[in-house]
Amino acid sequence: MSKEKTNIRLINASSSYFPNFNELREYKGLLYFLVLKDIKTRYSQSVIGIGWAVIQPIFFMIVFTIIFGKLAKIDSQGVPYAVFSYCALVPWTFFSNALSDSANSLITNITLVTHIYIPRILIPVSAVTGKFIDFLIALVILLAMVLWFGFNINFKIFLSLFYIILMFISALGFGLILGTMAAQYRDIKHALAFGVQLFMYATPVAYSSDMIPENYRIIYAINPMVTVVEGFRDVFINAGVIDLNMIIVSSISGFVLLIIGLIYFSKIERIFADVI
Amino acid sequence: MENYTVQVTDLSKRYPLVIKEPMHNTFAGYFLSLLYKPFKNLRELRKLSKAQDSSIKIEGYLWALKDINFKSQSNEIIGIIGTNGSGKSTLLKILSKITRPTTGNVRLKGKVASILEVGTGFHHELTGKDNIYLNGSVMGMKKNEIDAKYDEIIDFAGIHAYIDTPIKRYSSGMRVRLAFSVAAHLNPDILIVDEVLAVGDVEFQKKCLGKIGDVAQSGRTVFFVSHDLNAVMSLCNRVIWIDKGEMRDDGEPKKVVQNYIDSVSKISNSTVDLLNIDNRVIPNRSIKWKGDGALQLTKINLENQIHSTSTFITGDKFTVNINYQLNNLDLINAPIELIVKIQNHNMNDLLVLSNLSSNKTLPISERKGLIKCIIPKLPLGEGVYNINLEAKIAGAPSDKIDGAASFEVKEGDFYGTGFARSLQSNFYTESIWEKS
Repeated sequence: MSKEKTNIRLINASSSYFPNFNELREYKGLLYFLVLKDIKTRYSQSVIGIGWAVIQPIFFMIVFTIIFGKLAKIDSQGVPYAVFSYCALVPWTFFSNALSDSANSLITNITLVTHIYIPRILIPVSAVTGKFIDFLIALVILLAMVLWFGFNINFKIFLSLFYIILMFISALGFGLILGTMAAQYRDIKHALAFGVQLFMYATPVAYSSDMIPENYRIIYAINPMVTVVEGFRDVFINAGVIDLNMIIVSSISGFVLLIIGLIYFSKIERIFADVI
Repeated sequence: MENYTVQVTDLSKRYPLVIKEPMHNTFAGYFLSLLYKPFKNLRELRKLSKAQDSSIKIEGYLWALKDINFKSQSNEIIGIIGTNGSGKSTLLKILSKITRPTTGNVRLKGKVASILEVGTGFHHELTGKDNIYLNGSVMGMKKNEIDAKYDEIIDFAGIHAYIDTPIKRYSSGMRVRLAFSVAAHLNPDILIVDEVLAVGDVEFQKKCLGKIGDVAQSGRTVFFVSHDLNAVMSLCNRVIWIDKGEMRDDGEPKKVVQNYIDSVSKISNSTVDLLNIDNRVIPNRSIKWKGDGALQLTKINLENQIHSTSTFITGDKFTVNINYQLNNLDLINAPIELIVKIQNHNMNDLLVLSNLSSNKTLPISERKGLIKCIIPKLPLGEGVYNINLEAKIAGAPSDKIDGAASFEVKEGDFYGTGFARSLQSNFYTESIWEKS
């Protein structure tokens, strides 16, 4: 009946320092269903449904345009402030939502941790992936706006793939670190609620990186979302303040976040059920 | 290679205990404690993770499991019994990889599926169909496996009409049926089932037990935790008893369950020496009772089909052994009558048994002897009962003891159907049902 079932699993106290990719391959169907659940349940029994995916960035855009664009008269690199801010709000909304969702995902899915065994990393990964679907919808609106305002879309559009990957791994890496901590220390949950808001001001969402003195931009770019946001502006509305040094610094810090996240999560995973 | 499906070696798991803080009786002390509180909280939380590192010494912990060793074979259905907090669930959680041991290890050969709670991963907003796929994949099924069994799962759960309805609109019974149905169609080499049968209607429970039996028949290993000792006895072919984290017994179900019952029983004496008992109704002083003491009952002992005990299961063989002593030797060979009365806790006589009523004369030919009263199938339901004894010789009242012994009954499989359901009947008897 079972030929390949001679594989022996050993359960003991030792931790692994990286996700077990062989095991993840066995569970790839589960990731699909977890993401599907995330999407289907998020907007169930709601009138606007998936429309909420774009309402959040659009409302921020309106408010930002009035306050920062009209009242504070923040320089928007010569493009209409509305599209200037929306272009940043699309990746930022993904980042902030994915970060808080993945950081809280283990706590909200506590039964998946304490009542059954699945590779736990799928829980935050599915939270981030679920938000990515929202991001894609908001991105379509961005493209429509870009065309409406008469910007040219050229070969640079391919660069956006790089920024999207950087955005995804930064959110996932940071989400894994915070999620692992949140499993044991609920303080993370409370800090996250306003921490994400503060973090937005360290990212050029409402303003341009142009306002940061040039010699500080390298340090500024340690926040990988700086490069993602300016990269988006560069690709879509040709108003990005970006250079190669910023891209390198942000890429390194995004990649390091992901590696630290994966290692930290894998190391603590064995005691999740005991500490959560 | 050695032949086993699960091998557990020196398995231990410890959990930290929360240590109660001293009370503060001054306002300043209380205020200071508020300042220290975050540090204390941090220490408590860190203890949770430290406890799992056996090299770290921590203060105040509890061994939820201590040095557990066993091996299982295929075709075994292993029942795990023990009181609440004995470590049963911790063991299952380790076997199903949810939590890791502090020391020791487990080797598992093959695919493991565990049902520690029905409907893990269910989401109330999703339809029955979506939940089948989600729950199935959470339990480790592949999409094509679920596709192949999809119709069977719906049939088993009996929810055809509601498959596209969000399960929050389901009755709780329907939800449980759906959840168990998915679980029942898993195809693991090792199946781990916790106290899940306490839910659902009786018909469905029976179906589930049947399904668990089928799984083991097809060459797999099943671990089954339950407080329902009858389900354990009728289903399992091996029982492990865990007590305070340690393995107390392992082996043949009837034997292990009996040992377990004896240890948790409130009544520990299966034998009572009647000569030194306070409850004897002294013949001369009793107004109602005019016993002459010619025949005296000296000892009572209760026994089931295996051994002496004071705890029985409905349907057990119930034997009352009564020792007597003849004081008046003139009455040798005289016929005697022994009456065994079984009372419930309200002192109502539920059963009055007499050898004369059973048409059995018992002439006494020796000075001392033993008389047995046997009930082939104990018809009593759950409860604590007393036995009153009376002896007559040559028609004359001779001895009487109220509360000579007591015993406890656990509800059980009186009808021998292999499936004991809780009828909560006080009394059991065979009945014949016919349709005309």
